[in-house]
Amino acid sequence: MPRLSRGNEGVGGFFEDIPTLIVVIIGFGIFLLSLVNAFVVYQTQQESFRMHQESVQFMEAIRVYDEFTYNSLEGVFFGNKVLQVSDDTIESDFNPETLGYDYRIIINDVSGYPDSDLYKVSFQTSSPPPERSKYTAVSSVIVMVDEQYHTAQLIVTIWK
Amino acid sequence: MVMLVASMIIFIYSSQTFQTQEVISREDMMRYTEETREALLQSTLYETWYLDIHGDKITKPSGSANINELLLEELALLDDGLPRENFEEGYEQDIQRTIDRLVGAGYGYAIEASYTNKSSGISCDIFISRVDSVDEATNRDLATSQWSSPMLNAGKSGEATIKLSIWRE
Repeated sequence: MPRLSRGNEGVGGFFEDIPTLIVVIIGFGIFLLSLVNAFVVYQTQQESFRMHQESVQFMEAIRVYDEFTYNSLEGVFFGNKVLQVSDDTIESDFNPETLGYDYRIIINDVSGYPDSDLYKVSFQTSSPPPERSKYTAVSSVIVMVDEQYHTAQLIVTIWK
Repeated sequence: MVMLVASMIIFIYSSQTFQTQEVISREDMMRYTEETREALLQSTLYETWYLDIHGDKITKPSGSANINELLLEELALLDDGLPRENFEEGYEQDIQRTIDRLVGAGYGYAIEASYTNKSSGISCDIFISRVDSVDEATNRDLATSQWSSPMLNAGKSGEATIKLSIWRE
């Protein structure tokens, strides 16, 4: 380490150590910031996983929802029920305040039957979904229409 | 020593996050595959057809074509010697179209059906997918559901094996 000044006057050793100390403090500070950042990322990821699990649980609840299902069969929806159920009924049975999140439910008949467009329905709570921080769970269900069994997607999205 | 302990803490947090994400992803895919299998076992197609040995169109009327039964019927007819080309534009294309729409973007799928005639020893196979083969080494979160179906209604003895695979693209 070069001397900061020259002369016959004595210089205390501590003053020569200051630049080294500053470098060590900065390095340690950066390391601590990395540690805090790792912890924050971990917490965020845990929250993300929890919300993903909630979306799957909510989707499973919709698969057995009496207002949709035929004879309470899981994953088998009755076409007339799907068309007749109201947003108010769903919101009353799945209250966003009780659940702790808002949601959108989409039933999408993909069967190719001529009347399949009738059974493409969507239900959503009043709060619009954000661009990010929403979680989607997807399932496959059947929509029964007369003697036909239409394949359909069930897409559930939740957000806070 | 402090730096070493802090480094270990960072490593533990990072690895736990990664492992949890992997487990959830695999469980989710398995659930989705099982639910899709149940839907396919019950669903019917609007209308579909195949060409018989004379080249005539044999049509399945609306609502009577269950996907599982179509696969068994095709296996039985393949076993009788009808070429697979006779099914490609009817049965197989309609099944593929249905699963394409059901599974949707972001996911890949394959249906594999096979039957071995125990008397003749001849095996017949059906493969329906957007890809040429299921590459288990590279497909992310590949989940598979397999089941056996008796060939009795298709006029054959024994069982066919049907496998549904779904993965993230």
